[in-house]
Amino acid sequence: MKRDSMKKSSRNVGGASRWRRMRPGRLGAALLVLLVGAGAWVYCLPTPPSALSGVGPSEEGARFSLGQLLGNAPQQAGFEQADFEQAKPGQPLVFPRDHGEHPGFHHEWWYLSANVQEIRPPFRRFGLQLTQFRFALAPLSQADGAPTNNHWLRPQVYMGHLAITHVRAGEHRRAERFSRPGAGLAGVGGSPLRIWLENWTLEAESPGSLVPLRLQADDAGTGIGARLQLRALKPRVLQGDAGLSVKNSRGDASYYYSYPRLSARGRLNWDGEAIEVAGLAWFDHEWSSNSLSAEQAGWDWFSLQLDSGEELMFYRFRNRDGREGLSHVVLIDPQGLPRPVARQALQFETLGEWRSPSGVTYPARWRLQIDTLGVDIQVKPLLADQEMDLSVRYWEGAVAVSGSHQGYGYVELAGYE
Amino acid sequence: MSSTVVMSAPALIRLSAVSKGFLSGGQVQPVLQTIDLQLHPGEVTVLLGPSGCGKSTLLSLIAGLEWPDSGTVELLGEPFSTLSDAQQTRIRRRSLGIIFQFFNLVPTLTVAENLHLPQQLNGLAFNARHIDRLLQSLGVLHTREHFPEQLSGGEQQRVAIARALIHQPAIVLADEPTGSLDEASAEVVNELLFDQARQQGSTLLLVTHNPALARRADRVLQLHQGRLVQQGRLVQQGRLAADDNGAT
Amino acid sequence: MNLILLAFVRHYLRHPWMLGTLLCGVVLGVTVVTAVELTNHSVRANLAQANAQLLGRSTHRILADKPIDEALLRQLRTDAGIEAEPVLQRYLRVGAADGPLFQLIAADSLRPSRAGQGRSEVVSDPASLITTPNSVLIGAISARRLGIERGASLSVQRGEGEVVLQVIGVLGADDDRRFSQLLIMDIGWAQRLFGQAGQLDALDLVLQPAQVDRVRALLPAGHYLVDSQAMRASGEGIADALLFNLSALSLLALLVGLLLVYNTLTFSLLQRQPLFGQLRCLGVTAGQLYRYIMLELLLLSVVGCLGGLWVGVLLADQLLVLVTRTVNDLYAVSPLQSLVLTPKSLLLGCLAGVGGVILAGLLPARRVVQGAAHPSRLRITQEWHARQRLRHALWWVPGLVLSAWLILVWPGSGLEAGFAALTLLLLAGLLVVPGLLRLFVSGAAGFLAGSKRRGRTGLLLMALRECSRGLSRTAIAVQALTLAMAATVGIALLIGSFRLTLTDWLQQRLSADIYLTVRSVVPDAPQALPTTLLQAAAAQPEVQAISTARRREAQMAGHRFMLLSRALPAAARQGYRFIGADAAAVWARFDQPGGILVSEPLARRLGLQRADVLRIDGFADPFQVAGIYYDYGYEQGRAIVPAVPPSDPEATGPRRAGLYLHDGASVVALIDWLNRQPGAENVRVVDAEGLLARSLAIFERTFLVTEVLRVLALLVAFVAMLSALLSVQMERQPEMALYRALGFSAWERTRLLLYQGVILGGVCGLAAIPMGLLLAWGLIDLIQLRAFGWTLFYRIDPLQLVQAPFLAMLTAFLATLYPAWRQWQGVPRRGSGRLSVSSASAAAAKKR
Repeated sequence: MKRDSMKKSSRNVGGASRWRRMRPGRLGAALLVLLVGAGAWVYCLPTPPSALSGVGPSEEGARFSLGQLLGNAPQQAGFEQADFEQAKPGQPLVFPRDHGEHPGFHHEWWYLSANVQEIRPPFRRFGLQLTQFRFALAPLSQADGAPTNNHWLRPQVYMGHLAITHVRAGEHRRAERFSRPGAGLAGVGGSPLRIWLENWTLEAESPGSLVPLRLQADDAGTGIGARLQLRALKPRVLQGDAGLSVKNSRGDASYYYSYPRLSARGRLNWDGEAIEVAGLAWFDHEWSSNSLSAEQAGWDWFSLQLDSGEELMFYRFRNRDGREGLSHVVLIDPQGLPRPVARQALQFETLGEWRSPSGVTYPARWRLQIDTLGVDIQVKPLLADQEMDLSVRYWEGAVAVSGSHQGYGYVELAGYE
Repeated sequence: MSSTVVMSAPALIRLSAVSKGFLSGGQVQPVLQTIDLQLHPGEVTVLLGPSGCGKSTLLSLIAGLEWPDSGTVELLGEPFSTLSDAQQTRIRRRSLGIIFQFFNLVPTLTVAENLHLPQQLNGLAFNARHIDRLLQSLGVLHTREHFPEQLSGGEQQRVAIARALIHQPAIVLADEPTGSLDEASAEVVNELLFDQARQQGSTLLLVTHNPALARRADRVLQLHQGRLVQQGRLVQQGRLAADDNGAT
Repeated sequence: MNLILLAFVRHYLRHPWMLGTLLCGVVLGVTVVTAVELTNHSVRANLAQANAQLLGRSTHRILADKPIDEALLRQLRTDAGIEAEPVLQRYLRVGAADGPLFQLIAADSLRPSRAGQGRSEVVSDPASLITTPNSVLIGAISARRLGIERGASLSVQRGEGEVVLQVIGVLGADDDRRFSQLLIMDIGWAQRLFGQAGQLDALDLVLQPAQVDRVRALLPAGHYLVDSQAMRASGEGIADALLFNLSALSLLALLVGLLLVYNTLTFSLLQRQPLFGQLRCLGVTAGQLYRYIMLELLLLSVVGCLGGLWVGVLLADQLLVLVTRTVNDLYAVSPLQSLVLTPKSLLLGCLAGVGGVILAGLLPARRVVQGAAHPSRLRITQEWHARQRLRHALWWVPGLVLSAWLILVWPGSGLEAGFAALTLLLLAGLLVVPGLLRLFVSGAAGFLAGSKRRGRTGLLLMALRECSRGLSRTAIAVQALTLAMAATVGIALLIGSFRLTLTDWLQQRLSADIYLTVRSVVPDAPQALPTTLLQAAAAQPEVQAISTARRREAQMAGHRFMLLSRALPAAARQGYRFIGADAAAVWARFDQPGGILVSEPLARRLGLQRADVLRIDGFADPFQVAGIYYDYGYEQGRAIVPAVPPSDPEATGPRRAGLYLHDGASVVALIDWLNRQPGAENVRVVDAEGLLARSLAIFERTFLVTEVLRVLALLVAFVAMLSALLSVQMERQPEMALYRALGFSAWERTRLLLYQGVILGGVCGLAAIPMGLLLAWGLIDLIQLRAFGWTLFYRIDPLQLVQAPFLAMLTAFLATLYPAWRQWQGVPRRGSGRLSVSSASAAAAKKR
């Protein structure tokens, strides 16, 4: 019978024969192939592959570091120091021109510090510092040649530091600002001269002269502010060799002049309280294109205003090997004449240390002796913590002078780690 | 096997006043009417009757595949017809073997797998020797690894018998197992069914319209218009007496 | 090995076409849902991302209807001590004029810790950005994609033409899509690049709540302060209506897919009824059996889901291109086009698939388990039950219609309610379909049976009766096909109506003879038409009048819309049609101070009526609604105020102008003349037809996504029909063998099958016409109005209606091809051959 023969044949092929029943499967298989094929075709269409992550913007961003910008000076943006203008002998300073900015140099600052006291009881004592820094991001020659009045295109960055030391409260507050010259947000210029970063300004009262000078600065975030009028009690002092101040053994130098004794009068603002104050201030303006040389670690700088009517300024570079590098000592007599003092004549001793909350150990008390001049003084911070823990970290604070002379001053300690 | 043993044992299957009807054209057509029936262990019974007389329905009622409209079905002493479906199923799994005319084997399982299925359901391990022995005794060992559709009708039914018996159920129900086979095959299959049932000592209830099978039975019953008519062919005294007892 | 599972698995191995169909249904459904869900999510995420790129972390933003003088920045920062950042923002195309769109954000690169932090946190080298002319940072993800190296020159297209930028660095990690399609530039170079020295597009502010009013008081006229949060929210939600529409369409495809699954499953389970019966006899409880079936469904759906997810992701990649383009055309610029895979979207696709399959399988599984106890349950009873069910289903119809009506009249019911009501109505329609089929078939059969040429139509009669007989298996397929066809018809009608409405509208609105627009390859370029050109044109004797339009974004009651200031000569006014008001009265009010015209979508969004008084942010004086005009251009809404003479020379000039010529003047000659004028190189001069054509082209592009989804739904329906017919045909193989034995030729048997397919398809197609009309009505009157706020006018294209039965018959015909082909396959296969011998007796036994 037919059935039997079929049965036999099916047995011959054994278990495999059941696959013969799967003919309709071709269709199902074809459908699947079609589907997969369609998928493959779709995939092969020329479009960019998809990005597969679904994160939103993260809340925590990497903190932008300006230290990088400042620390490496000109090399930072791929420029050589030589691309910028250099402070060289034989180019005397000319005023009022040189009160203004020198954008061809890499960096520049206008510095004002003051030790003031409340004019009414309880006669509280304050220190104040306002500095405006300028950094060139590129040499002038690198700037786009096309003339522009678009200040955003000027490769300059301004940084402002404002600090007030409230001695009685034992508190030192500091604030920092950055801005570019774009939209007139910051700059140095005009007549009378104006040095401004947003609403922090140092403004000359009259054209052609820096002093009398008005300081106005407020920082809402820290609750500090100041409005001071500054008058020169002494003429300006050109530091170094007629304003050329050599900074290292390579011969790198800066242009540097000071107003070592200004009277300061006005109001400080501390958490909304207006405090009428008066005292003495010190103004520096310095510009150069050199950075610390390789062996230099930092510097200590003293500006001391003595009751005798003299000012003692002393700075020294510290080398990485722990030794003292280039240094400079000058005593300005009551008439305003600078009298350089040989370094050997100054005995300098560090009497104490202070470790900052950020973990840096700074020297904290000093003894300065100049036997030839009968000077033997101790310098002591009005407050240990006057660290400027900002984009650039340094210690800048009001100090008191005691010993053979009395007085107040400011000390700057840079490059401690 | 002595008749006294059978007599003293309780009835494996007991139907009491079972009636069943089907809805047809809005009216209930009675199929079975007040059936009383007892089947005893090891007893081989043939239920005869013309097509459509309700034989299959009776079988379904015993198997728990249908529910009686009235009356009770007891299986192994349990009130089967009142048990839940799950309870019925458990009894069916353990104690029943069922053979139908068609659709006896899972088409997608091989013969061996089909035979293993009741073992698995009863939690028994795969017993190849037992399967082989049973297939051997039914003469279908060679089909062991084949799928049902590769077998002839006779072979299929032999395997179906094997599967119904593999877990040695107390009761085997067969509904026209050879109904679709040619005469020669039917002869062989029926012979094997009777032999195996007797060998295992299972109670067998065979439903057929073929009176020729009656001569192999211990007992012959006949359904006529939904009522049970007893036929006393091949009477063995003890058993008839037992039936009489049951009937009274 | 569990033998029951093994048996189930082998069942599918033996019926791979069934497995294929099931998987196909799941895969297609999950594919469409996943693809659309992913696309929607990506579009939303990209919009949010573009917003975040633009807005940074500012709390507020100052905008103005003209470039902002940067003195305001100085004033805010120096005098008021407000944290404010300058922003210039432009779109650029990288490479050619059809290159990828990038967002260029220019800010002060140096200010890290303030408002712009969201952007500049990553600018590690601000000095180079400041000192290098035209230097940009590019998102690393895009740089990698476009193969741009650090230091490369990047040629880009801006509004004013091509320019070369210097890539000096990359932003973010290679896979950080926050920086996708983003260029960062320093504000100074950007001002120079776009000729905006001293000017800004916006100021980003970080404000304390107390400062907000102070800043507002400081703002000069024409400047306004917006809340960035609100801007983000409205920016991200801008395309919601469109995306919701897409979601609904994808659900429609899923529904069709699940109908297919339901159909195949039912068949697959019914086919195994004898097996289930056997298992019950062997002692498998109903619960066990049920669990096995559920396990099977689970496995099937999981496998299908995996496939669906895979294809869905691939499809989403393509859909995103279309949808992004639509979003760009319709709403705002979203330059980002990256696919965002979120576990949520994928999970949703999975849930839809698995849940749908389980749901689709519940009913047939229950039915089959309950009916499984007796193995010889007759086909006839199944059929009878099926008919009962279909009949019972009809009882649902009035309830469904009533619920739909209730939902619609519910006060304040929105877009979702519209969709819900439409779904209910479609369901009601679907329930009627099988009954309709039966009615048609019995009518036709009766007619044929009474016909004199009965002998020649015997096959047809058999086919007709078979259609009715097999309804238990084909009902769902019939419904699926009808639904898909109805969707096809409905969407086609919608698009047709939309096109007609739009064409009418454009033809009316584009009443000028010549249009001048700013030529720009990038969106939102701030260029204006050269004033000199307009003046010169006005001086031409052929020119009767000139209409101009300036536009800007404005905000009212927290809703952003487009504010146009237009000079509208009488000729241009004829192009406006107003809702329920006399045009003359509207124009009279418009010409008085404070008059404003509001587009229909804007009016619907804000619930504005004629004569309402409204205030727009940045304007001191209130406006009064002169009239509400039909508008299909911008779904967020537009409003028109009269153009004031440009008192402020810095105010942006008009971006578009229409020239109305005197009768008989030569359009071509004037176009030629215009093109030769100085300053015309950045101006596109087109006649009205040209503009119409371009507008319609954008419209076509907009509806491409819809078309794609429609085709997908059709594909699913095709598979559904195929599987349904296949399952019927496969089951009828023994029957075919009988016909063969009775002497039917292969051709006759083929015809029998073909007739059946074509009858089913034809009836589905016919039923799809009223349902398609219903769907079109729903889409136009419920959905479009609720989603976009515009009224469309019906256009019933008979061709599109006829399309449905034709397509359905074609589908059915194609589905019959394979079974028909099998009729020509020589000797019947062994399996069916054996059955054919025994089938006569078997059939006899079954039909006892």
